[in-house]
Amino acid sequence: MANASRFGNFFKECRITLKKTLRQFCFESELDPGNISKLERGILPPPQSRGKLEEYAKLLRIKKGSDEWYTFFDLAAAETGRIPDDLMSGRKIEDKLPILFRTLRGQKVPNDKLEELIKKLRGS
Amino acid sequence: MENDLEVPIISYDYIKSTANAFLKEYHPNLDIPVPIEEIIEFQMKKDIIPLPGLHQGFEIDGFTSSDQASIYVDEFVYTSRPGRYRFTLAHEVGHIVLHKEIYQKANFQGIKEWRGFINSISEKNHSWLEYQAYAFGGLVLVPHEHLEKLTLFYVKSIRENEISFKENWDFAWDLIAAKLAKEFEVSTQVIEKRLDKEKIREQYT
Repeated sequence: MANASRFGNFFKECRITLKKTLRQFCFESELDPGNISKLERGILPPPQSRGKLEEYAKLLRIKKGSDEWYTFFDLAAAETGRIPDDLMSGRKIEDKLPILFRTLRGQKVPNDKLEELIKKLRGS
Repeated sequence: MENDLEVPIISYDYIKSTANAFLKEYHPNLDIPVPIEEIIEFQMKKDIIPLPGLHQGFEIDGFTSSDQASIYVDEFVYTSRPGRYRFTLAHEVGHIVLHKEIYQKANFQGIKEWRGFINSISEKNHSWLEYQAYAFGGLVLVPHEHLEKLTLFYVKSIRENEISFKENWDFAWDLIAAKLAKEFEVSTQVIEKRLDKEKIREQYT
Protein backbone atom coordinates (compact mmCIF):
# COMPACT_ATOMS: atom_id res chain seq x y z
CA MET A 1 0.00 0.00 0.00
CA ALA A 2 1.65 3.19 -1.16
CA ASN A 3 0.57 5.65 1.54
CA ALA A 4 -0.59 3.22 4.15
CA SER A 5 -2.24 4.81 7.14
CA ARG A 6 0.14 4.62 10.06
CA PHE A 7 -2.86 4.91 12.36
CA GLY A 8 -4.56 2.00 10.59
CA ASN A 9 -1.44 -0.14 10.82
CA PHE A 10 -1.03 0.69 14.50
CA PHE A 11 -4.69 -0.13 15.18
CA LYS A 12 -4.25 -3.48 13.45
CA GLU A 13 -1.02 -4.24 15.36
CA CYS A 14 -2.78 -3.55 18.66
CA ARG A 15 -5.68 -5.84 17.66
CA ILE A 16 -3.31 -8.62 16.64
CA THR A 17 -1.40 -8.23 19.92
CA LEU A 18 -4.70 -9.10 21.60
CA LYS A 19 -4.79 -12.25 19.44
CA LYS A 20 -8.15 -11.20 18.04
CA THR A 21 -9.09 -11.66 14.42
CA LEU A 22 -10.92 -8.72 12.87
CA ARG A 23 -14.20 -10.65 13.05
CA GLN A 24 -13.73 -11.66 16.71
CA PHE A 25 -12.66 -8.16 17.73
CA CYS A 26 -15.63 -6.51 16.01
CA PHE A 27 -18.10 -9.09 17.28
CA GLU A 28 -16.97 -8.69 20.88
CA SER A 29 -16.77 -4.90 20.62
CA GLU A 30 -20.01 -4.54 18.67
CA LEU A 31 -18.21 -2.71 15.87
CA ASP A 32 -18.82 -2.99 12.15
CA PRO A 33 -16.07 -5.20 10.66
CA GLY A 34 -16.41 -3.58 7.22
CA ASN A 35 -15.66 -0.14 8.67
CA ILE A 36 -12.86 -1.32 10.95
CA SER A 37 -11.28 -3.17 8.03
CA LYS A 38 -11.37 0.08 6.02
CA LEU A 39 -9.90 1.98 8.97
CA GLU A 40 -7.03 -0.51 9.29
CA ARG A 41 -6.31 -0.39 5.56
CA GLY A 42 -6.35 3.41 5.50
CA ILE A 43 -9.46 3.68 3.35
CA LEU A 44 -11.26 5.46 6.19
CA PRO A 45 -9.45 8.16 8.20
CA PRO A 46 -9.29 7.89 12.01
CA PRO A 47 -12.32 9.35 13.78
CA GLN A 48 -11.93 13.00 14.73
CA SER A 49 -13.89 12.73 17.95
CA ARG A 50 -11.72 12.28 21.03
CA GLY A 51 -14.48 10.21 22.62
CA LYS A 52 -14.57 7.75 19.74
CA LEU A 53 -10.79 7.43 19.76
CA GLU A 54 -10.82 6.77 23.50
CA GLU A 55 -13.48 4.13 22.98
CA TYR A 56 -11.29 2.41 20.37
CA ALA A 57 -8.20 2.70 22.58
CA LYS A 58 -10.11 1.10 25.44
CA LEU A 59 -11.35 -1.74 23.23
CA LEU A 60 -7.76 -2.31 22.12
CA ARG A 61 -6.77 -2.43 25.81
CA ILE A 62 -4.34 0.45 25.42
CA LYS A 63 -3.44 1.65 28.88
CA LYS A 64 -4.20 5.32 29.47
CA GLY A 65 -0.97 7.32 29.74
CA SER A 66 1.20 4.58 28.25
CA ASP A 67 3.48 5.13 25.25
CA GLU A 68 0.96 3.24 23.11
CA TRP A 69 -1.79 5.57 24.29
CA TYR A 70 0.11 8.67 23.15
CA THR A 71 1.18 7.01 19.90
CA PHE A 72 -2.45 6.10 19.18
CA PHE A 73 -3.65 9.70 19.63
CA ASP A 74 -0.60 11.25 17.93
CA LEU A 75 -1.07 9.10 14.84
CA ALA A 76 -4.77 9.92 14.75
CA ALA A 77 -4.01 13.65 15.05
CA ALA A 78 -1.35 13.46 12.35
CA GLU A 79 -3.91 12.05 9.97
CA THR A 80 -6.60 14.62 10.66
CA GLY A 81 -7.63 16.05 7.35
CA ARG A 82 -5.75 13.38 5.43
CA ILE A 83 -7.47 12.39 2.25
CA PRO A 84 -7.86 8.66 2.64
CA ASP A 85 -5.92 6.60 0.15
CA ASP A 86 -8.15 5.46 -2.59
CA LEU A 87 -6.82 1.96 -2.73
CA MET A 88 -8.93 1.30 -5.74
CA SER A 89 -7.84 4.25 -7.80
CA GLY A 90 -5.67 4.07 -10.89
CA ARG A 91 -4.12 0.70 -11.54
CA LYS A 92 -4.39 -0.48 -7.95
CA ILE A 93 -7.81 -1.93 -8.63
CA GLU A 94 -6.22 -4.70 -10.70
CA ASP A 95 -4.38 -5.94 -7.61
CA LYS A 96 -7.67 -6.42 -5.80
CA LEU A 97 -9.57 -8.22 -8.54
CA PRO A 98 -10.09 -11.96 -8.36
CA ILE A 99 -8.65 -14.33 -10.93
CA LEU A 100 -10.02 -17.68 -9.78
CA PHE A 101 -13.68 -17.33 -8.95
CA ARG A 102 -16.81 -19.17 -9.86
CA THR A 103 -20.44 -18.93 -8.84
CA LEU A 104 -21.59 -21.52 -6.34
CA ARG A 105 -22.99 -23.54 -9.25
CA GLY A 106 -19.53 -23.62 -10.76
CA GLN A 107 -20.27 -21.19 -13.59
CA LYS A 108 -18.32 -18.20 -14.79
CA VAL A 109 -19.48 -14.81 -13.59
CA PRO A 110 -21.14 -13.27 -16.67
CA ASN A 111 -19.26 -10.43 -18.39
CA ASP A 112 -21.94 -7.84 -17.65
CA LYS A 113 -21.56 -8.62 -13.94
CA LEU A 114 -17.81 -8.04 -13.96
CA GLU A 115 -18.22 -4.27 -14.20
CA GLU A 116 -20.52 -4.40 -11.19
CA LEU A 117 -17.92 -6.39 -9.27
CA ILE A 118 -15.22 -3.82 -10.09
CA LYS A 119 -17.49 -1.03 -8.81
CA LYS A 120 -18.15 -2.96 -5.62
CA LEU A 121 -14.43 -3.44 -5.04
CA ARG A 122 -13.64 0.20 -5.67
CA GLY A 123 -15.77 1.07 -2.68
CA SER A 124 -14.59 -1.70 -0.40
CA MET B 1 -3.44 -10.67 -23.29
CA GLU B 2 -1.46 -13.64 -24.52
CA ASN B 3 -2.16 -16.43 -22.10
CA ASP B 4 0.22 -19.29 -21.52
CA LEU B 5 -1.66 -20.57 -18.52
CA GLU B 6 -0.78 -24.12 -17.74
CA VAL B 7 -3.12 -25.67 -15.24
CA PRO B 8 -1.43 -28.33 -13.18
CA ILE B 9 -3.40 -31.57 -13.12
CA ILE B 10 -2.44 -32.77 -9.67
CA SER B 11 -3.47 -35.91 -7.87
CA TYR B 12 -5.52 -36.14 -4.72
CA ASP B 13 -2.49 -37.60 -2.96
CA TYR B 14 -0.43 -34.57 -3.93
CA ILE B 15 -3.14 -32.23 -2.62
CA LYS B 16 -3.24 -34.29 0.58
CA SER B 17 0.51 -34.06 1.14
CA THR B 18 0.41 -30.31 0.42
CA ALA B 19 -2.43 -29.88 2.93
CA ASN B 20 -0.48 -31.89 5.51
CA ALA B 21 2.61 -29.77 4.91
CA PHE B 22 0.48 -26.65 5.33
CA LEU B 23 -0.86 -27.93 8.67
CA LYS B 24 2.64 -28.91 9.79
CA GLU B 25 3.86 -25.38 9.12
CA TYR B 26 0.93 -23.38 10.43
CA HIS B 27 -0.86 -25.63 12.91
CA PRO B 28 1.52 -28.36 14.05
CA ASN B 29 -0.47 -29.38 17.14
CA LEU B 30 -3.41 -30.27 14.87
CA ASP B 31 -6.02 -29.31 17.48
CA ILE B 32 -9.51 -29.08 16.09
CA PRO B 33 -11.35 -27.07 15.00
CA VAL B 34 -8.42 -25.89 12.86
CA PRO B 35 -8.16 -22.12 13.46
CA ILE B 36 -8.06 -21.20 9.78
CA GLU B 37 -9.07 -17.58 10.34
CA GLU B 38 -6.23 -17.01 12.83
CA ILE B 39 -3.75 -18.77 10.55
CA ILE B 40 -4.65 -16.44 7.68
CA GLU B 41 -4.63 -13.21 9.68
CA PHE B 42 -1.84 -13.81 12.19
CA GLN B 43 0.54 -16.13 10.37
CA MET B 44 -0.04 -15.65 6.67
CA LYS B 45 -0.64 -11.94 7.37
CA LYS B 46 -3.48 -11.56 4.92
CA ASP B 47 -6.53 -9.37 5.32
CA ILE B 48 -9.94 -10.97 5.47
CA ILE B 49 -12.38 -8.40 4.15
CA PRO B 50 -16.17 -8.66 4.46
CA LEU B 51 -17.93 -7.54 1.27
CA PRO B 52 -21.70 -6.94 1.32
CA GLY B 53 -23.77 -8.41 -1.49
CA LEU B 54 -21.13 -10.73 -2.90
CA HIS B 55 -23.36 -13.77 -2.59
CA GLN B 56 -26.59 -12.04 -3.52
CA GLY B 57 -25.20 -10.16 -6.50
CA PHE B 58 -22.70 -12.65 -7.90
CA GLU B 59 -23.42 -16.00 -6.21
CA ILE B 60 -19.88 -16.03 -4.87
CA ASP B 61 -18.96 -16.75 -1.24
CA GLY B 62 -15.41 -15.44 -1.47
CA PHE B 63 -12.30 -14.86 -3.55
CA THR B 64 -8.62 -13.99 -3.24
CA SER B 65 -7.34 -10.72 -4.68
CA SER B 66 -4.86 -11.10 -7.52
CA ASP B 67 -2.07 -9.66 -5.34
CA GLN B 68 -2.89 -12.41 -2.78
CA ALA B 69 -2.92 -9.85 0.04
CA SER B 70 -6.62 -10.16 0.79
CA ILE B 71 -9.40 -12.69 0.92
CA TYR B 72 -12.81 -11.13 0.34
CA VAL B 73 -15.80 -12.92 1.86
CA ASP B 74 -19.50 -12.25 1.46
CA GLU B 75 -20.51 -10.22 4.51
CA PHE B 76 -23.48 -12.41 5.39
CA VAL B 77 -21.34 -15.56 5.26
CA TYR B 78 -18.68 -13.71 7.31
CA THR B 79 -21.07 -12.76 10.08
CA SER B 80 -23.73 -15.47 10.07
CA ARG B 81 -22.53 -18.72 8.52
CA PRO B 82 -19.48 -19.89 10.50
CA GLY B 83 -19.14 -23.27 8.80
CA ARG B 84 -19.37 -21.88 5.32
CA TYR B 85 -17.08 -19.01 6.30
CA ARG B 86 -14.39 -21.39 7.50
CA PHE B 87 -14.66 -23.49 4.37
CA THR B 88 -14.52 -20.44 2.11
CA LEU B 89 -11.30 -19.39 3.84
CA ALA B 90 -9.75 -22.86 3.58
CA HIS B 91 -10.76 -23.08 -0.09
CA GLU B 92 -9.11 -19.73 -0.84
CA VAL B 93 -5.97 -20.79 1.01
CA GLY B 94 -6.03 -23.79 -1.33
CA HIS B 95 -5.83 -21.44 -4.31
CA ILE B 96 -3.03 -19.46 -2.66
CA VAL B 97 -0.96 -22.55 -1.84
CA LEU B 98 -1.64 -24.73 -4.88
CA HIS B 99 -1.92 -22.07 -7.58
CA LYS B 100 0.94 -19.73 -6.70
CA GLU B 101 2.28 -19.75 -10.25
CA ILE B 102 -1.04 -18.63 -11.69
CA TYR B 103 -1.19 -15.70 -9.28
CA GLN B 104 2.40 -14.78 -10.14
CA LYS B 105 1.40 -14.44 -13.79
CA ALA B 106 -1.49 -12.20 -12.84
CA ASN B 107 0.39 -8.90 -13.03
CA PHE B 108 -2.18 -6.86 -14.90
CA GLN B 109 -1.68 -3.45 -16.45
CA GLY B 110 -5.32 -2.49 -16.53
CA ILE B 111 -8.83 -3.87 -16.41
CA LYS B 112 -8.67 -4.96 -20.04
CA GLU B 113 -5.74 -7.25 -19.31
CA TRP B 114 -7.50 -8.66 -16.29
CA ARG B 115 -10.64 -9.40 -18.33
CA GLY B 116 -8.52 -11.04 -21.00
CA PHE B 117 -6.80 -13.22 -18.43
CA ILE B 118 -9.90 -14.45 -16.65
CA ASN B 119 -11.77 -15.03 -19.91
CA SER B 120 -8.89 -17.07 -21.26
CA ILE B 121 -9.15 -19.70 -18.53
CA SER B 122 -11.26 -22.46 -20.02
CA GLU B 123 -14.22 -23.95 -18.17
CA LYS B 124 -12.40 -27.26 -17.94
CA ASN B 125 -9.26 -25.70 -16.48
CA HIS B 126 -11.23 -23.63 -14.04
CA SER B 127 -13.13 -26.71 -12.89
CA TRP B 128 -9.81 -28.41 -12.17
CA LEU B 129 -8.56 -25.46 -10.16
CA GLU B 130 -11.78 -25.26 -8.16
CA TYR B 131 -11.77 -29.00 -7.48
CA GLN B 132 -8.18 -28.80 -6.22
CA ALA B 133 -8.94 -25.87 -3.89
CA TYR B 134 -12.10 -27.63 -2.66
CA ALA B 135 -10.19 -30.82 -1.88
CA PHE B 136 -7.45 -28.83 -0.12
CA GLY B 137 -10.04 -27.00 2.00
CA GLY B 138 -11.54 -30.26 3.25
CA LEU B 139 -8.15 -31.82 3.95
CA VAL B 140 -6.98 -28.83 5.97
CA LEU B 141 -10.14 -28.42 8.05
CA VAL B 142 -10.58 -32.14 8.63
CA PRO B 143 -7.17 -33.66 9.37
CA HIS B 144 -7.16 -37.37 8.53
CA GLU B 145 -5.87 -38.59 11.88
CA HIS B 146 -8.72 -36.90 13.77
CA LEU B 147 -11.28 -38.02 11.23
CA GLU B 148 -10.38 -41.69 11.66
CA LYS B 149 -10.23 -41.52 15.47
CA LEU B 150 -13.46 -39.58 15.88
CA THR B 151 -15.32 -41.72 13.37
CA LEU B 152 -14.32 -44.81 15.32
CA PHE B 153 -15.48 -43.12 18.54
CA TYR B 154 -18.93 -42.30 17.11
CA VAL B 155 -19.31 -45.70 15.46
CA LYS B 156 -18.77 -47.27 18.89
CA SER B 157 -21.25 -44.87 20.46
CA ILE B 158 -23.89 -45.75 17.82
CA ARG B 159 -23.34 -49.44 18.46
CA GLU B 160 -23.60 -48.90 22.22
CA ASN B 161 -27.00 -47.33 21.56
CA GLU B 162 -27.94 -50.57 19.85
CA ILE B 163 -28.47 -48.99 16.46
CA SER B 164 -27.71 -51.57 13.81
CA PHE B 165 -25.51 -50.38 10.98
CA LYS B 166 -26.84 -53.18 8.83
CA GLU B 167 -30.47 -52.14 9.23
CA ASN B 168 -30.02 -48.37 9.61
CA TRP B 169 -26.93 -47.64 7.54
CA ASP B 170 -27.98 -44.20 6.20
CA PHE B 171 -29.48 -43.06 9.50
CA ALA B 172 -26.36 -44.08 11.45
CA TRP B 173 -24.01 -42.31 9.06
CA ASP B 174 -26.20 -39.18 9.02
CA LEU B 175 -25.86 -39.09 12.80
CA ILE B 176 -22.10 -39.63 12.66
CA ALA B 177 -21.62 -37.00 9.94
CA ALA B 178 -23.59 -34.47 12.01
CA LYS B 179 -21.46 -35.18 15.10
CA LEU B 180 -18.22 -34.93 13.11
CA ALA B 181 -19.34 -31.73 11.39
CA LYS B 182 -19.82 -30.15 14.81
CA GLU B 183 -16.38 -31.28 16.00
CA PHE B 184 -14.56 -29.91 12.95
CA GLU B 185 -16.88 -26.90 12.47
CA VAL B 186 -17.60 -27.71 8.85
CA SER B 187 -20.71 -28.78 6.95
CA THR B 188 -21.88 -32.41 6.86
CA GLN B 189 -21.24 -32.30 3.11
CA VAL B 190 -17.52 -31.76 3.71
CA ILE B 191 -17.46 -34.66 6.17
CA GLU B 192 -19.35 -36.99 3.83
CA LYS B 193 -17.01 -36.25 0.96
CA ARG B 194 -14.00 -37.01 3.15
CA LEU B 195 -15.51 -40.22 4.54
CA ASP B 196 -16.09 -41.44 1.00
CA LYS B 197 -12.80 -40.24 -0.46
CA GLU B 198 -10.76 -41.80 2.35
CA LYS B 199 -12.89 -44.96 2.22
CA ILE B 200 -13.54 -44.74 5.95
CA ARG B 201 -17.18 -45.79 5.80
CA GLU B 202 -16.24 -48.98 3.98
CA GLN B 203 -14.26 -50.14 7.00
CA TYR B 204 -17.50 -50.53 8.96
CA THR B 205 -19.57 -52.57 6.52
